[in-house]
Amino acid sequence: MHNAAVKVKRTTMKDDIALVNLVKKGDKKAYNALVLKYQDRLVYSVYKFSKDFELAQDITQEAFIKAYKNIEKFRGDSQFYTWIYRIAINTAKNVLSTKARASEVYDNDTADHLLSESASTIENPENILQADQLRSEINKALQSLPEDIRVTLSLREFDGLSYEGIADVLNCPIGTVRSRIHKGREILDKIFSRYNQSNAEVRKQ
Amino acid sequence: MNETLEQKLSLLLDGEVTPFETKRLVDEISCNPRISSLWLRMNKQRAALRGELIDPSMDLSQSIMANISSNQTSANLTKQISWRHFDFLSKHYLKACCYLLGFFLVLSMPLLNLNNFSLSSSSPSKISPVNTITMPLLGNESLLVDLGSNFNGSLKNYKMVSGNAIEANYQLPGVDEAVRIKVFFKGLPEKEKLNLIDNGITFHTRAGNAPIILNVSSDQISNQKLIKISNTFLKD
Repeated sequence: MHNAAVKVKRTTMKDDIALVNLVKKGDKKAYNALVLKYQDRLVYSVYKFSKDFELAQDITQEAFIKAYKNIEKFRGDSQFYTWIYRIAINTAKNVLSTKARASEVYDNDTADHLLSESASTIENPENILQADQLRSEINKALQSLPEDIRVTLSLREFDGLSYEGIADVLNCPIGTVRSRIHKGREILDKIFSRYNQSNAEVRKQ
Repeated sequence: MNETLEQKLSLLLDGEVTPFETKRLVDEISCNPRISSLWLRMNKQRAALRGELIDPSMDLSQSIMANISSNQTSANLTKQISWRHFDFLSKHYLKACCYLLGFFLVLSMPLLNLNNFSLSSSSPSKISPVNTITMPLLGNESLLVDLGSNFNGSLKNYKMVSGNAIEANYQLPGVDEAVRIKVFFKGLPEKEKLNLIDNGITFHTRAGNAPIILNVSSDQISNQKLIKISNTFLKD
């Protein structure tokens, strides 16, 4: 079990390295794929730090831009996400300390303004509600999946096992693991797409 | 074929594809809107499962990639502007000068009581020595008004963005366009400077005898127009 977990780690790093190597060769499309892969996770991490959703988005954008500019410095001895997470948190620290310094230089009105600005953007209730609903729908859908698919997908998503590790644990061929995970995602994607569609219709009305 | 591609995308999400397949899938994500949308949904689905999804409709990728493209253009232009002014100096020489200047400034700060950072000899500061870097600049609104007069911009507002940097917003006459100028005075650490100069056109110039760095940017104005504005500062 422990060995399997180690394998997962290596596989994930290898995959990101393949994408990063493409970026280093000037392939911006590969970077776009990385942005799409990690944007939600990074915004969530920065949001936990800043408690300001709009600011978290701005900082995430800046972190991705900085990471792109410094991509040559990524040596691949850690996961890409760990690297960009560090960049994002350092950026967040700089932004927040600059804000704090600015409010010291300014008078109290400015500080109040910064605070109220922060308070007003701390959460967008509509989006948070949508995210909560979606999370609940997806989790419900996960629970209703056939057991073999649910267990396989859970070992991947929650325990972070590699396909090889899952095959070892479940004592089944790696091809079965592949198809079960794909099948599970296909079912969940239908829920996701349906949810997006109904939300888009609500927005139109 | 499509089913295979979708399966491969699922494998890409889990880092279970070869570098060759990665390249092919990256191309598909870029060129095929259906696959691009599926890749986005797959990642959202994962974020939702792991409780890391805040806004299902959020997608920063277009804005990030546009920013990267425009930054590359700006960086190239900035390089051209810099070279026009500094091509007689080698990189090593400049680096050595910077170190020496920094060293000299650190040594001379207590002796000079930091007054050499003031851009204007008028309006003596009433603030404690620690703040004399910042406060003369804040008080020196006329400097910012003067900067705006280079391109007929009227100063709307300004704020300190760090110890030695001011961000000023200007309105252009007769149009609904605004220009943002960041002014960096000497003494700001290079790292901080780089953190703050995140877009627009950046160049070195002088205010009277004092060297400053200007970063001109705007949400509404094209880079071409920003270069024109920047050039007005560089004309002797």
